[in-house]
Amino acid sequence: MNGERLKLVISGPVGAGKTTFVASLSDIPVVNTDEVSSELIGKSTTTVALDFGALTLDGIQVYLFGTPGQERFAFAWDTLLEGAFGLVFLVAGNQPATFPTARRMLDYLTTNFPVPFVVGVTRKDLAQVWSAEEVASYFRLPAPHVLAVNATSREDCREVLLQILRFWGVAGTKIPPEKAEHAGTSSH
Amino acid sequence: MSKQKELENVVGQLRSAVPDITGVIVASSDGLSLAGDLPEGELARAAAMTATAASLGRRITDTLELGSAEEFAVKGQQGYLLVYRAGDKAVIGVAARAGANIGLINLEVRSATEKIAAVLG
Amino acid sequence: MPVFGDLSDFPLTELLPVVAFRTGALKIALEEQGTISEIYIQNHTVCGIRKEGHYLEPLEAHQVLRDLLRRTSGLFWFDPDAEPPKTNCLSWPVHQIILEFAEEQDEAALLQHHLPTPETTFELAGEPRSYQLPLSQSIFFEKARPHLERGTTVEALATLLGLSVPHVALHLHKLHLAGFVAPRRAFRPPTPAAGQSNVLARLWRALARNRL
Repeated sequence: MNGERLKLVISGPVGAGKTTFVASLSDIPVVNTDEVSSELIGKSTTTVALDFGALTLDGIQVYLFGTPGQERFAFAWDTLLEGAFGLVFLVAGNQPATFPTARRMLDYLTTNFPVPFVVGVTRKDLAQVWSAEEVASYFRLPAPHVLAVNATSREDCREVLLQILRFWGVAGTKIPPEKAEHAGTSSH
Repeated sequence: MSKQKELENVVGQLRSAVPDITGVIVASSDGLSLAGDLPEGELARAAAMTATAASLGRRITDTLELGSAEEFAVKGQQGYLLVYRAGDKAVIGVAARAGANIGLINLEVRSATEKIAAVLG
Repeated sequence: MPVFGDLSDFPLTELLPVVAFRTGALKIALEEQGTISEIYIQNHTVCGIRKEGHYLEPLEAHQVLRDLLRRTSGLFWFDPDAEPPKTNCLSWPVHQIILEFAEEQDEAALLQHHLPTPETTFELAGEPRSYQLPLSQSIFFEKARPHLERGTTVEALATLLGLSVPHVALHLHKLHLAGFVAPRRAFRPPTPAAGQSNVLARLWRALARNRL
């Protein structure tokens, strides 16, 4: 992070709602770019398709980067996550087939890059959809890390942002440590 | 008679044949309880431990070339747990009081394991 | 809004831990059978297995369970309102089922998408477990424990133990499901008074004031 610019990375499988999420938060129209300037993403000069948005609050510019979801683009994520203040990982609650690869990716990223993260489960409005609790159980994550999100709702997206900030402990908020008991763990 | 009933009869017969036996568990080789006369709260744990003991016994007899595994005995001050394979798919655990006649138990269990193996096929 | 999907994406060994905390029946429809099998779950335990409307006795239930555990296709969904078994609960702990079944087959190939990447870091999970691991898991765990205390990647552990990466990935995956290990997340919240937290604190205040 340099000065008053912050970087938020939004990732997840194809179709999870990354573009929608970025659009909901962004003040500017979302730019889908094939080539992002090296200044913004760090050292990389790799060509990769990203969604780019920006949100300005109290003079702070929050850059929003929606990454491609496929594992084969993982090589680009090094530089994307460098200096990011948060990672939002979206999965569509009605597409459980995407969960295994998503979990694999998330565990790799979050154990290698020091960034707080939230898993957003989208499509909560549908009748047949996994609940945030069940997704948390599959991902083996404590409840604070998994939220149900309507990616079209600015309010929901804001809540995700607030949760990321809670993980930073700002304003005296404290989330219980990682090792807390979570849904799905055998406790007997 | 259903196979389940046959299994339960074997357990009952074993119990009545040797008064020193305090409990019997028949478990699948993956450690799940199939029949037994232990209290319901203890079945799960007994089944898991019996299967693990049988596994360990087999590992030892294989590694040390002791021939095919017959019995795995744990002796405590207050009693025994004796574990035997009952065919390929099941194991049987027998809890007995201290001072029990192990020879008699072995004899009775041998016939029980043969019946169990036949039931499970 | 409960769990649903296809066994081709979630073998039963992956599914059971997900629903273990719930009470109700995991229903499975296998194409060629035309019947629905149900696994009734309560308190992290399989209580009953039902086929064609009636709950099976332990012996038969076990055969049905083992068959379901091997299935690589079929639809499943969870019904929290299903009727529980009226007679004795089977008392088969979910952890016992998912851990033991690992011994049976080359799950590594089947579970590829579910397994951690070689560069994922694991450490011991904070909560001590009250149950025993099956033998080969136990042996692996004891060998791996000193390295897990410090934290290790899957591939580093494989090198240290002289085992293949897929083998270690499968073991760690199972231990993770059972609650013995967990991924070691790289993020640590900073101590107060770190410079950048001023910016984050301002962002928080701006967001909290609902100024979007």
